[in-house]
Amino acid sequence: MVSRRLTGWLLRTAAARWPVQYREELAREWVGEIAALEGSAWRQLAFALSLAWQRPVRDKLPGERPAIVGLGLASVRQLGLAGLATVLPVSGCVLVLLAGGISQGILGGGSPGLGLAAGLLSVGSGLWMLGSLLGRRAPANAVPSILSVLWVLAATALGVLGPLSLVDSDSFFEVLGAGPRTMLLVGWLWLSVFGVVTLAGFWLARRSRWLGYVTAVAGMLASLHVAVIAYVWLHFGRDYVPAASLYRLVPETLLMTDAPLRPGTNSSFEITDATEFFPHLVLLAMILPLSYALAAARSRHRAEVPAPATAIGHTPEPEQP
Amino acid sequence: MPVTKVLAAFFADVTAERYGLDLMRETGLASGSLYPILIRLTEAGWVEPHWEQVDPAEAGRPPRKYYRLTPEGAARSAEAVRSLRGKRSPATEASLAW
Repeated sequence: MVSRRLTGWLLRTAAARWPVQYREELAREWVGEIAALEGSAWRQLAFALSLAWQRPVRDKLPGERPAIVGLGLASVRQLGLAGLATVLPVSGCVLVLLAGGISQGILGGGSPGLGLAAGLLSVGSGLWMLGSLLGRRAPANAVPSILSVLWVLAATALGVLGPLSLVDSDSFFEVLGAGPRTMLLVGWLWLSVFGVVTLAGFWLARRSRWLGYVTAVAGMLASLHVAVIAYVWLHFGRDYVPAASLYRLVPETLLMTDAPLRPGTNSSFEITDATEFFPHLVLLAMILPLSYALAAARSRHRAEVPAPATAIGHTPEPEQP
Repeated sequence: MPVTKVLAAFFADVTAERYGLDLMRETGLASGSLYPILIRLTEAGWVEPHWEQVDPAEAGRPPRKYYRLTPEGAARSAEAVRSLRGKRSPATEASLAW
């Protein structure tokens, strides 16, 4: 039953990758062949999988970039992108923090803000450009797609494991004491806001590029605030509430000015490795998917290709001499 | 070259009607490689498809689609196969491509 359903899904997926006027005929033909393979579920699956894996033959508009729309190549591409979306923010975050440390060293124990700002700007710009470049080459159905799911998983891993892996030993047990549930809550809270923002930006960008951009960037900052505030509150608890206004938490934590986190109602509240790392990580983790989604939204118009004039099953008229 | 294999399978008996699984078995091509070739050959007018005349309720299975070489396809593909087996000519590539 499972293999039958899987075979059916693969055949539908394969047929959907062909121009509209081919689909019904191809699906009918493949169903006939699958029926001939009755009794061998593996051969049926292999038959359907090969069709779904294959890049379709399709006409291109002049100047249109070749789209990678086959299931196999698309999956490999999406896995690669999910890997990039996971690895690049983490390594970028380390670079940014290093820049802050170097800046602090050069300035003789001064504020690391300048180095952090420069690091965020350069790493963030690089991620944005890479996401845009990949998004412009994206297939029409890139977002929402499996990619969204993979990004959700990657971002969850970042949201949950990032802070856990970097806090010092005392805080580590404190976080564990709060329970993985807390970290999952933060991760999913952030992802829910960010997911809505990305999809809203994607759909709006199809109508108006700037409307999509403004929505996406504003939403990205909003989801960053939600994540950081939730993280600080849930991590440190009610006894360690920072004195400053919550809206200052993100910019001042990103630049490590310490101002909002200096002694408040309780003097033991401090910036830890985790609170330094977390906002940078969240910010950088959002840039690549967002720029990819916005660029993919714009490429969608180019991907609408008119179908060929002739249909399968109809032999063309012989040429007149 | 996969196209050559498919054409060679048709040449084995130019009057025979072939269906997808039959061609897959003979050429060793996977379904994902074979069907795009069949469609290209159909579009080029080298093969013509037709549906098996069978009552699905009576036969207990859906009808199959068969392919056979057209006279024009037999003549032109013979040339093409010779050419492809010797040296791939741009004209043949162009005529086989979409």
